[in-house]
Amino acid sequence: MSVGDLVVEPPRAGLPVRASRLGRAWARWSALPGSLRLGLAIYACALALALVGAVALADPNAQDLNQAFAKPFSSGHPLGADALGHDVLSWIAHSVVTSLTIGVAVVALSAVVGIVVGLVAGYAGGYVDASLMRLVDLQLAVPPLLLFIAASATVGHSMVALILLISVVSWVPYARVVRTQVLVERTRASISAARLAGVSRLRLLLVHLLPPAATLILVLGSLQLGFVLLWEAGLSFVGLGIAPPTPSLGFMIAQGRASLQEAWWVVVFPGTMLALLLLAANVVGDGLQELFGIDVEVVER
Amino acid sequence: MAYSSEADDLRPSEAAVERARRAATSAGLTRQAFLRRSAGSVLGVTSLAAFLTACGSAGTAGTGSAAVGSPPAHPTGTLRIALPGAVDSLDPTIAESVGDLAIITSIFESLVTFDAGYRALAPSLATRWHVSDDAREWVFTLRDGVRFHDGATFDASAVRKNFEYVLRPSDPYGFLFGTPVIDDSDPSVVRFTYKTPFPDLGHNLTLASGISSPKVLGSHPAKADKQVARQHVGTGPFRFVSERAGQSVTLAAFDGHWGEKPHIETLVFNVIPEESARVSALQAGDVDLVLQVAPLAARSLRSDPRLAVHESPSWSTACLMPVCDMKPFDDPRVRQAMAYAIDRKTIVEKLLLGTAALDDSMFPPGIQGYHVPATAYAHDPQKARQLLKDAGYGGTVPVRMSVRSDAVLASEISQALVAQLNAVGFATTSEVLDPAVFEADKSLPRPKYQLHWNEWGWVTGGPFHLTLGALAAQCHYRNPRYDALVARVVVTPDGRARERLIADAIDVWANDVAWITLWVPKRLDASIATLQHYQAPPNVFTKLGTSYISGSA
Amino acid sequence: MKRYIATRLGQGLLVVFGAITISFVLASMAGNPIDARYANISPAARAQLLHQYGYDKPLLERYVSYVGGVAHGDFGPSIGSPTGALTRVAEALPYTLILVFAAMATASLIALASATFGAIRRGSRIDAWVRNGFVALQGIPEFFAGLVLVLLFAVVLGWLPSFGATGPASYVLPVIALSLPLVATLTRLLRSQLLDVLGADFVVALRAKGLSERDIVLRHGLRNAGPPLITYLALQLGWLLGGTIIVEVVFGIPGIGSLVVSATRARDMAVVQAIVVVVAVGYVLFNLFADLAVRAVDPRVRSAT
Repeated sequence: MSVGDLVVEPPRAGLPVRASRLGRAWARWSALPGSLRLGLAIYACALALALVGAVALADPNAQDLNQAFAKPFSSGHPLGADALGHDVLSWIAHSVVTSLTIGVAVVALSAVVGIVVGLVAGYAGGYVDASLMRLVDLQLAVPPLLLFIAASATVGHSMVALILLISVVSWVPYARVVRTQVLVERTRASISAARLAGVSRLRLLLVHLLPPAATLILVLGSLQLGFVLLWEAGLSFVGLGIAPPTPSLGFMIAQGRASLQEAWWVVVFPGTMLALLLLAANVVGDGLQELFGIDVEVVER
Repeated sequence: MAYSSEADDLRPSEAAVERARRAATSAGLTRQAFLRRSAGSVLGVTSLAAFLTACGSAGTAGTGSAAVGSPPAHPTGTLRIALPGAVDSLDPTIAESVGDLAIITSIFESLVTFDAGYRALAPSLATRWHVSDDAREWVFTLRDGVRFHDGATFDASAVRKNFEYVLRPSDPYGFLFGTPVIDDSDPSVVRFTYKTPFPDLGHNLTLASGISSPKVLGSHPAKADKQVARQHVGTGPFRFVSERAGQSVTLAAFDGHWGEKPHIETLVFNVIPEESARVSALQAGDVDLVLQVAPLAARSLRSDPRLAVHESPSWSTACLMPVCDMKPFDDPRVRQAMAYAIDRKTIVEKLLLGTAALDDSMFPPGIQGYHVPATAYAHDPQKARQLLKDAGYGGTVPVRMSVRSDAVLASEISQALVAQLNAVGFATTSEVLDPAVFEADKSLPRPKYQLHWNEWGWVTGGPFHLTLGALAAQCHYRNPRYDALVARVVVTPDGRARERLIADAIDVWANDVAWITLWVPKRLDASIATLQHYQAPPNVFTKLGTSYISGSA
Repeated sequence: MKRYIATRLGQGLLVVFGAITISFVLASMAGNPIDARYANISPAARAQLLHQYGYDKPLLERYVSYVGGVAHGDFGPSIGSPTGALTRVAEALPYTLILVFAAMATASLIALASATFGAIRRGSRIDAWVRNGFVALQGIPEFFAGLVLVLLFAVVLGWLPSFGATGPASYVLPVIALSLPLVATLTRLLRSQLLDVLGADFVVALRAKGLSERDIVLRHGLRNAGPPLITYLALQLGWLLGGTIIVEVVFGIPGIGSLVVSATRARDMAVVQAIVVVVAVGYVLFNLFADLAVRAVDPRVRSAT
């Protein structure tokens, strides 16, 4: 493992002493890496927008053909409207919930699968490890597009189906990271000692070998969130993503792209929100790496 | 043209009705088949540059009419055309997509074609034809002195060989030509003889019947699939030069053409799957002609003085098709409610930006037998709600609708329809499906989706979807009176009697609301303003033989 | 070492076999090319066509003959490619390879340059700006980048062609679109590698001798950055191939990305499966190479496996 940056600032250096609770919380917040703060701030704004949307804005699916392609800043449509008169701002606000739900669900599910595979492969070694790693190769060698098209022909387009599908193609990084971690950790003397002392394998895995990888998994998960969002938007382009009445960013971008030059707002605003969420995912991941002093790319191997 | 005028009313036998029924359930063509737009899958979007161009190209008015000029003395210049997807097939008996057909129409010709106004059949490889009174015998007099691109002579035996190929067991469109006995004993005359009247041969010959060189077909035409797939030799104004798979097809002017010699030296068809990329390519000057642009793009391209938009009424209908033997649409009142619920005018004006015409008939004006039915359904949500209540649906009526992903504005139109249906008490959910999945579902005896939105191309200029019963079959529409009328239409020669029968059938259809015609879309092509004598065709066969680029040396 | 390679190749063969099987299963679930192409043809014609393309045989028999055929390079009759599925894939492959390697090279060069700069001037404002800028770049999806570039450089400015693979100029925009997301992570990776080296003892000695930071980074740091760079790129190959699909479709480049999309749409499974096999074989070989590189570098992993 290598340390990310040569010079590591001790987090508490230079903190002014404040007596109040709020002051202390603020001080701790300021001590976090800048990128982490930026990412979390973006997430917070997005969620605030979603809240406003759920409470105050119009139904995103409300159509009004007379308002088709209303320009931004026109009355009732601060960010304009799309081909069917859907309000872009409302659609974006409601989509944030959809995107983050899918993102968190996929990250959780794929992390669980990946961790299990990684733990087993790393600890068992030998044949088991080899065949699990070949399973990894296999999963990566099949074009996901084929998988999605075949699956949607049979399973359909529901959010659950989408979450399952994207998880199937997302679990590998967790497996790799955990496996490498376990391979390294299990050579430690403390592990052999625990084994001799009669600690069960399961307990060994969960209590001794997994926790050191926890920070890595957290970092990976926050980075993967961005990939999931990208996947979901990408799938909308092939017609396999979330469809109305569930609002999604990918759907509005995909539908609006044909009228790009004439009604740029239908693409620009959802696209910007998507890019912001992706940015948030990346900088949160970076910030966590900085915070924990690790570097995921190097560890992955 | 020597069609027989009046024909006797023929009493349909049981066998004829049954034959018609079997034909109706087993054969058909969809508009999608001809207007396939593989709208390239994963796509991109842009913000910044879109913003820039939106600001930059602030509407410069004027449609920029360039001086017409006259065609060059010799074929000159290159015309680059954008194709919406990779070439599927250049076999004239199989090709379906607009792009493929544009290439096919340049290489191959058929016995007959349409006149300049697309009103009547006109001579092409046949100079005259005669139909017997009972429409069982067709005699075509072939044109003299026609040669194929490879030098082979065009004569009756070449025609017979081609029909052996078209009528092979595995050809998907052989049914268009029935089961004739073809007589080629006279090299300049071809005689088609049918056991039962086949009045549609003339119109159907404009479709899927491009004549290939007999050298390509060889001695066993029925097994010539592989040869025809690789060698494209016809009699048309352009000959095939080369194909770079997935990239482009190049054609060159054929100076041995019997008719008006082409004015353009080279045609290059480029594959550009992404819709906005095709428009960008036209604006950047990388292509000269784009087939089928969306209404919104057409509107903004019109304001560019260097470009021109060619608009023409097309022979296609957008239809909303329920499955008539499944709940909830097995009740005619529910179908009527569906018809009353749709506000077609608003969709045409706001979504299609006026690039469609409203119509209540089964097929568009310009098709033989066009008739406006007595019953029409205006937009009346109140009536729709009442009808649903009368039909016994107290709460909401759940409906699953499917749409083909490559239909123009498929997603937007389906959403608008859903909203209108749901406003009167339906609870519709719609899915945009991959063509393969869409078609597979429709062919099931009990499809998963009870409602379909689709576009149908009446590309032969005749009511062939009516006679072949494709639409009725897909809607699972069975009405003995309608079926009997259709069975008689099939065997009645062209003329007033046939038109009366067609009108009756349409009236029954409209009364039953078996399916509804939403609108008749227009065909929109965009090109450089200097392209002259180009006409967007109402059928899908794009002709480039008489076009030229003005101002080219 | 030889035994290791042999076992890995053997395992790779299993992976390829697994990929063949899975894609066959998926393909048969997804439908056949006849139904995808023709709607409502007569049952007789449909039956004839299905027979012609071998779709009327039972699944197991089709699978066996398919696997047997693959061993000879025959992927079955392709409805869209009369010259054969493998030939079609071989025609398309060079375009994709050019795109992928050009993107890797471009991203590597930019990353090396900025990582070197960042290592030499670490901690400075400019360094922070550059790093943050690249992170922002990483958030731009290729589909965003793709058409922005076309609209900007082809339509508005007219400097570069908007589609196709007609020569070096037409590759510029697609390569940029594809390499953008790579640059950020590569930069970070290389930067951390370089900083590692700079913390080593021998570097302290070099500094004591009076060598400038720049010389140290350029001569010693970059040499050490090589192996992880290659490893990372090899890992990213799979992702890159996925990204080229988007870029190829947007820019109209006739590589295997466009091909897999159009073949899947048309349910031309012979071509799709040929692509799967080619990609799987390539992936196995690249992975093997990457594994060997890692084993050479990290002794702990070597002893553990």
